[in-house]
Amino acid sequence: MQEKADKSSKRHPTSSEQNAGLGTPAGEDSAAENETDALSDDELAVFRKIMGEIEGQEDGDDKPADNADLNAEEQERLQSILESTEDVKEGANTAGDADDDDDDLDADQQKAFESIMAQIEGGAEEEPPAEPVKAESDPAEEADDETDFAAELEKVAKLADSGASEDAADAGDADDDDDDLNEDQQKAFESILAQIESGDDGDGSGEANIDKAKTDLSAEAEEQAPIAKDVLSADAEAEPSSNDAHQAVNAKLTDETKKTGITTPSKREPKAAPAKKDDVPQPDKETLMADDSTVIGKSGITPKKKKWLLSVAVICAFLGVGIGGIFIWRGQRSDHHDAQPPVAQQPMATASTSTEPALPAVAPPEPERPENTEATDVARLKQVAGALDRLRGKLVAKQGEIDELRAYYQSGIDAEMKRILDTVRKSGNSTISFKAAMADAHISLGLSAIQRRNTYIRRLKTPLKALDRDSEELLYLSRKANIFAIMADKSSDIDVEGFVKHATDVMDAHRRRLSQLNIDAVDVIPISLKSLWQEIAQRLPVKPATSAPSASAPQVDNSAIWKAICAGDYSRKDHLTALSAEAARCLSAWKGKDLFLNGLNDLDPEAARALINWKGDWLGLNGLTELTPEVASYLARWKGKTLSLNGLSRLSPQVVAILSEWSGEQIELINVKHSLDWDNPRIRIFFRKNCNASKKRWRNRS
Amino acid sequence: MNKAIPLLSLAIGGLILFSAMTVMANDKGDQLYRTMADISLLSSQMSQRKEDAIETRDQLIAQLKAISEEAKQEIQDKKIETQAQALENSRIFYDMRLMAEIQAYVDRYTQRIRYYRVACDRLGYLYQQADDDLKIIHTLSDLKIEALINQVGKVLDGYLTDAQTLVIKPETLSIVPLEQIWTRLNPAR
Repeated sequence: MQEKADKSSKRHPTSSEQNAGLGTPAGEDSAAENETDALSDDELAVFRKIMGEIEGQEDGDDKPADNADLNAEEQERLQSILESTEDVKEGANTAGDADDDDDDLDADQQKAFESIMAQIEGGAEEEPPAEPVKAESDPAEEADDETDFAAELEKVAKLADSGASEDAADAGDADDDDDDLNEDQQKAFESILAQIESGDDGDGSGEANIDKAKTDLSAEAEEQAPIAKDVLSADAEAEPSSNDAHQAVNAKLTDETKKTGITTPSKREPKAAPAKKDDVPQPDKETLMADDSTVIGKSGITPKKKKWLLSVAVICAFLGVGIGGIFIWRGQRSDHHDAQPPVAQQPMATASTSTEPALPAVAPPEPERPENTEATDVARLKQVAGALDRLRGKLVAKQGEIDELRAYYQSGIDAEMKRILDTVRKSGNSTISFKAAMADAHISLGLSAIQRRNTYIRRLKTPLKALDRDSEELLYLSRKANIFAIMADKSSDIDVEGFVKHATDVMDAHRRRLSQLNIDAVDVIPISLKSLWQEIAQRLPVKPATSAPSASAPQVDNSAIWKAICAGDYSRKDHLTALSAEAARCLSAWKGKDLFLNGLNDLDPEAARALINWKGDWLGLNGLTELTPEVASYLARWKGKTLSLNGLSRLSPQVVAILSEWSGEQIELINVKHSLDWDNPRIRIFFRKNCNASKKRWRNRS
Repeated sequence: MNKAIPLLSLAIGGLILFSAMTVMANDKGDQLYRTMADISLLSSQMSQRKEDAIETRDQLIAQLKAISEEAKQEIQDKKIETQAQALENSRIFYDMRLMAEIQAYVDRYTQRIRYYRVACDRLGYLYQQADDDLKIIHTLSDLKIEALINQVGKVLDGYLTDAQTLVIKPETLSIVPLEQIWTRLNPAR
């Protein structure tokens, strides 16, 4: 106790400064500090003085008209307080268990403060539980309630917080209230209060017991009103061991004293606290009221209290944020850890496993891959492939044009030869010498035309081969571009740039070559006219051209077969090497599905016209080596499905155009060596492989 | 206000001190967490690259098969019997050339697939080791993890380039000679 008193005395100057503004004089506090010794004497002196004043007023009246006015009951009350203070003082001095006293005092102080608060808020209507003093105090309080300054007390009570009202309501259960405050809260508040004690001492007394009591009290109780604080200090100093009723009574009395300037001594009250007003000028009633209204306000929160609460709130906020942050941080970390399945259960846990490690998908996103670059590369490769394909298409088209030109020339050659042969036949000569032939202008010109066209055909072969190789190279590059595109989508070090450059260079070269196609530079030695004439002479028949069977089938009696066919015997139809129109009409009546007349090497238009009336599926004319447009036009009217013309090695564009109008399904042209400009996509054409280009071209057109 | 400032400072100081102590206590654990996350990320990337390589290789094999069939058909149609004849044919020549190149790429992708598979296995091992250490740190107060961290760091650095994208280095490809392609196309002859 003495130590606490010393500490309080050390802290006192600060509290004095703090409380100076509240009308709590330093001398008053210092008097209150030495509660057990000198202060008690001071208090006693003060109280005696007050009592004297009260007694002086007691004579006057019960009305608190003056500060000195105190009725007899008040005086008794003050006296009782003083007596109880002295009892406590003596007990404290004589008690050997000071620590226990401290504890008891703390609780008592708390109860006292609560009781005071209850009294303040409830207008002293609620009294603490039955206490020895209560019986003595109650009559005095009841009497006080009837005094004039009771109204002032109620005003103060109305300024109290609603929370404090609850405390007041529970004032009868002071012990329970102590239990409501758990140790942590208590410690926290103790520490907080200890830290700020140096500034708040003045609000209570310098006594440690008071501090303890303040700890248990709400802040509102401390800050409720300067007057109340003064009273509390005085009461605490006066009766540190007094019961709640005593303190409540003291508070009420002191309130009254403060407000009215009258000290009302009770029977047992010491006259210490009220004596303060002698040391320091007490504010008058108006001033107090003004202070009440300005300092406390409607909410009952004073600026000092606000600061106090603000400090506590800030500290709590920081603590809360810190603790919360730590919990969140630890929670995230534990979540992170929990999100990862135990490695022992993961397939990847064993390094020797060859299966895919099932590593957990951890938050970090995959670093950006150069998607744009890759996409650009792929797009560029696709673009290059498209350009290569387009250029290749041009080359293939040019190949087709050249093929057609060559076929045209060849057809012209064939036609020229036929005219020469017809000329010779019409002349009636079996053989004509070269000189004689050259003497004939028609034959000589025809030979020159054949020579020229043959030369063209041979010269055109060179660009055709070049175009074929170029187109294959472009196809190769296009395929390579697609392969690079496949790889570039996933791989990084494909030399796309180099390839594109190479492909571009190749395409440029090919385009240049395509635009500069010519056969001027092609050096081809023309076939001599004599050689051409020899070739034609070999084809000249010994006899004039008739319907006689060819030399290859001398034994076949076509006439007999014709008769048989017309008689309904179709068994030897396959042996025919020639077909008359009449025989063709008879043959068209045959009911079979497949008619193969592969022995025929010639078919005149009239026979073809009759033959197309045959209603079968497959007509084979593979012995034909030539097909005139007239015959072709009749064949194109046949209603069958498959037409085999595999004896033809070339077709003129005119014949191709005619055949493409056929309504059948399939044409076999196995021996055609050049491309065809076919316009009918419905017809399947069986070509030799080297005619694929023309086939594709046809498909492209379709 | 004069009282609030020191109180505030004291509270903040206490908070900082408490946080610092907590952070220091979990520093190694966090380091291992980060390491494991790095390993996991790298492993997933390597795995993705491996899948990319497999996908690309499959596509190349399909291309190779198609071109090979075309070349065989061309050889059959043209009745080509010798390599010289085959090389004279533009289509067959370019088909053979493309086949040789595709085969080289396929071989390279096969190597890369093997490489990535081994890399994933190694990373899995390191991940396991880090997780084991982490468990010890969680259980005990401390563990020396510097060696593991350094080791993992080196491995990650080593794999980092290959994790970003497939690297096949075309300039180092070994293209099989056309004779081998011809033999493969025309084994009967």
